Amino acid sequence: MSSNVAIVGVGMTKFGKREDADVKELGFEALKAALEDAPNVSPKDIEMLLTGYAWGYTATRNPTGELAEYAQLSPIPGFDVHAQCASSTAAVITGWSFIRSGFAKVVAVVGVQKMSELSGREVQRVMGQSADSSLEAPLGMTMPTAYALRAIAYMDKYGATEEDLALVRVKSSEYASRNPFAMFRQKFTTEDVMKSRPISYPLKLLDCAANADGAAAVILASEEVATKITDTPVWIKGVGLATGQQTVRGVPDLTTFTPTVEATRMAYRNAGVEPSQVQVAETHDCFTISEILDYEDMGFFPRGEGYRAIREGQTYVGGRVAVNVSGGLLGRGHPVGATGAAQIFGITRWLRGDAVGDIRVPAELGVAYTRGGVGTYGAAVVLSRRR
Amino acid sequence: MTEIEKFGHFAFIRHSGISKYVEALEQGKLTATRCRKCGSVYFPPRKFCPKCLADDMEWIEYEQAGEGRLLSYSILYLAVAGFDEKEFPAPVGVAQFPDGNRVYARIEGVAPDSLRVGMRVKLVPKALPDGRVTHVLQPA
Repeated sequence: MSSNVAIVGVGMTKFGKREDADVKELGFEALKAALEDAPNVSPKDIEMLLTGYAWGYTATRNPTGELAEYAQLSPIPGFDVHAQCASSTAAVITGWSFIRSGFAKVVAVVGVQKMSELSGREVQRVMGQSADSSLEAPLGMTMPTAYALRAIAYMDKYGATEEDLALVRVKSSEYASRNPFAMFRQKFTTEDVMKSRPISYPLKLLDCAANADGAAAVILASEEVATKITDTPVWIKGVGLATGQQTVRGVPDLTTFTPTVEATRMAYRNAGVEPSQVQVAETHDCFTISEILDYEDMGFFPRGEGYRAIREGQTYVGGRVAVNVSGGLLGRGHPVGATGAAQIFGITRWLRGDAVGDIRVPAELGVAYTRGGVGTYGAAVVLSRRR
Repeated sequence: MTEIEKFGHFAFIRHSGISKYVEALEQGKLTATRCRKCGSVYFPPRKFCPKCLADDMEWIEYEQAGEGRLLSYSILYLAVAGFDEKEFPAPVGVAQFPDGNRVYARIEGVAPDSLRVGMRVKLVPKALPDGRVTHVLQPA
């Protein structure tokens, strides 16, 4: 009989430039925090270790193996899960499936990335490799460009403006200023965003999430274990995965991300919920435009109305649905392999009634959605306080 | 340099099943592949046919490219490592041709503030310095 799966502990490191730690040390720091958060779980209870990690930003090739040795967890089973920026959400879903199958009862998932050893130009080359390497990357296809093309198509179709995009960053910075784990603690105005230097028109520096170092960890347990060890389990109600396009030329409609639509629809269906019931969401705001597309692709607002939602403040705490009120990727920083686990960290704490910094979100149902590559992978997890 | 390494401004890979596309660009031609089994035409070309799983492609000249429309555009300001900084800012776009095929390419011959979604464009082969070659979008 397949088991329900609960999150019984979460932890994360401060995101930003972390010259004091390498990949395994960042991973250990997050794992330690998650274990300290998980009542009655000790390292010897962990039956499997999965790491969400994107290769190419550091020389570290085997993060799971390094961390298993460093944390003295070996010889438990483990491997790396790679879906670019969606890696640790995909790793949580992998852990969920190992528990559902009966293979393990307690699984530790660590998302980790270290990007600050490379320059911004070098990081964009690595990221360019996650675009079509034969005919698009050689022309200069950066991650900002892939999203800028979406921004122009969306603005042209629906009449959204660059100022609307900037409002997403204004919201992110408001919450990031209250999140001690976030990379950027200063508040930005629309004017700050508009005046920041151009990266890929119409996207400017402050429209873009920053490369960062950091890690986040999630301890998963079977229902049998979870109900014994904690009074505040957060249940994984549904999961969804999808692939999209690696090429920009292959995208059927530049105003929507197929993997977002498909992965979240699958997760809602598996959870037996409607998007209208979601009270809190962490989405993939790697750029300001992507948060607006996420509003629509995840079913929170109708097509073409996402930019109105941010104008009206509908995605702040107290609005229709609280979106990226941790500061999101824009405010928290985006160590790509760690991002999904960091999203789940926030949702889990809020559903338990805990705060992130001084940010509290009254909610019973939340969703974390992470997108990998230029719209290549989607991974979604629906979380609830109720079994 | 292998053929595919000559494509564009910076090479990410050395081997490819569509190297003939680059050879044709060097001769000033745009090419597509047509599946000999099911007749499907692919532009940009493909080595394998996903519809009938065949590996038997015929290389043909691609002539439909004349009346493309710009679906979206951007201007790259950030020079990616490996690229020549002098090339930036560089306008780029995605165009769709009447047959539905699409391409991502740099855009030439349009002032950046004149770029518009829906503008008519054509794709043309272009020689680059150091024996490199590419395709670019120009106003039609």
